[in-house]
Amino acid sequence: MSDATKPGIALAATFTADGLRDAMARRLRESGREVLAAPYGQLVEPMLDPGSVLLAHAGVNVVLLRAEDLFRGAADPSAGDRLLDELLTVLSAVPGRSAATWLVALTPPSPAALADPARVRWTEAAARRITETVAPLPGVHLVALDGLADRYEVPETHDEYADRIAHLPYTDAYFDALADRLVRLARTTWTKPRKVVVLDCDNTLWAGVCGEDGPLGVEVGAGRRSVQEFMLDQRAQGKLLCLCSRNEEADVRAVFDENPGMVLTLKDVTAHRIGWQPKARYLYELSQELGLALDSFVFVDDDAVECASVRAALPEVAVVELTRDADAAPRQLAHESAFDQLTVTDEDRLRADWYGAEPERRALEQSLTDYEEFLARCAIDVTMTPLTDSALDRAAQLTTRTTQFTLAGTAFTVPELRGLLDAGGRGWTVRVSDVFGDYGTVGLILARPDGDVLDVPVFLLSCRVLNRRVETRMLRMLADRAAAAGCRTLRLPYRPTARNAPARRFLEEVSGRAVGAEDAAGVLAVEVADWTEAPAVAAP
Amino acid sequence: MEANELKSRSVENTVLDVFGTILGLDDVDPDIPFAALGGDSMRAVRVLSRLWRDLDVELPVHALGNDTTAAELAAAVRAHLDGRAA
Repeated sequence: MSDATKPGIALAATFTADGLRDAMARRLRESGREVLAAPYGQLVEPMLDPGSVLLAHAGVNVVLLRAEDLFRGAADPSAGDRLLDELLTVLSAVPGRSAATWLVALTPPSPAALADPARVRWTEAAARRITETVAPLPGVHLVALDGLADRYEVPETHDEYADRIAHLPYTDAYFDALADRLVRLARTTWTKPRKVVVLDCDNTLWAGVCGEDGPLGVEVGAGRRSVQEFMLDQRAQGKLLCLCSRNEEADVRAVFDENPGMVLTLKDVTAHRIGWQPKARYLYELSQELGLALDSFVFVDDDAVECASVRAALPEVAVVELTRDADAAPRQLAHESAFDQLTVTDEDRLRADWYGAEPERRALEQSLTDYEEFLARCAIDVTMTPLTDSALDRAAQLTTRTTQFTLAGTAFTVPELRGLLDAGGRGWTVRVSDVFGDYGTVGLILARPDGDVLDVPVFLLSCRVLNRRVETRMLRMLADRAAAAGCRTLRLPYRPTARNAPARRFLEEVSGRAVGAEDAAGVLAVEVADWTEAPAVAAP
Repeated sequence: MEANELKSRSVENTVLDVFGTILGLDDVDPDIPFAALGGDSMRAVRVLSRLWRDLDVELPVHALGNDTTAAELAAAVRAHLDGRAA
């Protein structure tokens, strides 16, 4: 939180996205902006919970959806119908709840999903519904990822085994490409997009020198044609195209008129300066003529000296030194951030109207109501089972692998767990299921009675089931068991770490006071009577 | 016996190679724990994925923890391969 005033990016995905978050954070580090991530695999909850990283955020929210994850683990894709419905409902409510700019992307289906016609049908239908839902929403942009792997020369997109064992479906190389694309789009919301593209002609739009080679002697091969098509696309996105060339004007015009390879036409060009004056001077003149500041200009030229002199004279202009390797030029342009912009439409303008008087508080209240209703629809079932020998392995694993929702973060080995039980300690594993599926054993509580106090060295929950109030249910169930054992107080030691913010938030809710983010360990005492589900029975 | 030794050595070499590739190290000491070499849980998954591809062993996530060394992981891979052969 070094610079809390600068909004950053918050990320939620249907899969493990730590690698992506790190790749994005690396790209933002210099700008002092942060990348925050919602708990693993959660989309609906962070779009409803007013305190989540997505809703408590005014920067850019990125939502990544791999459609097949909505029915992950189920034999029949229709198992994902319900979650898809929930998702579409919360997505369509996003503009009323959040002042952030939202980027929603459908990420590539796995090869396995593509090989199964039933899954293909389901994911394609899901993608269509998501696209139809998101497209009209103000402030919510669909990011197309088609061709991303090609553009970034990603050798392999999928990591099949990592997907199986860790729900990590993509390679680091793909995450890197995705991070670049998303961060660049996010940046365009912080900096104004450029408006004018000024193009050199010889060896930029075509190969050769028109004054020497003649209008038919210069060549427009596949690479140059892609450069011209790229510029037409820029024009379609609202940028103005200009020409700036050291030539006789008639020679340049002749190429546009006569060369059959030209895709760009003079009608596409808003203004031009063709002659023998320094290009920096021409750029200045164009800015006067168009009434647009030079900091909204991009200058594209293959000549290193021209580029250097414009950089030196007009540092506010974005200079793109285009490679003379025609085949490499389109790729260079695609990676050039000076051209980035989110497709801005009337939607963005309309967004201002979307917010009425005091909109935020009302939106948050509505969100909270919807959240409660969502949790009720989930029909979450939490069961606590006494820890037995057969569960010791899973319990030990939970103590080492849970980092987000763990109060003290203490790891236990299997022999240590057995030692605790043998010494009169108690333990419970927590199993969670809901209408979307069974999450298995995802929580653990360890306790040691000490007179009328129950010490709780471990209170943890896997991040898969965060934001569903499971932790509150666990605390109530623990209080019941403490009451039955004649204990009046629970002692919950905690130790803030870099990763256990969700656990700290829970302690703050329980205690009603702030729990320090700095590494200061402490103990929270909870009165059993405040939390027992049944009416408190006086301890004998 | 000799063949077994050869196999052991090649498994260990593969594990060392994979550690090196994933962690970006030229030289991997087989007795230094994964985390001390710069490994973390995400990289551990990448290592296991590579071993699955190269050696066709299906190891679970916890087979490679912070404290696991390349030598220990190689032993686990061998045990897995031997178990399957038996």
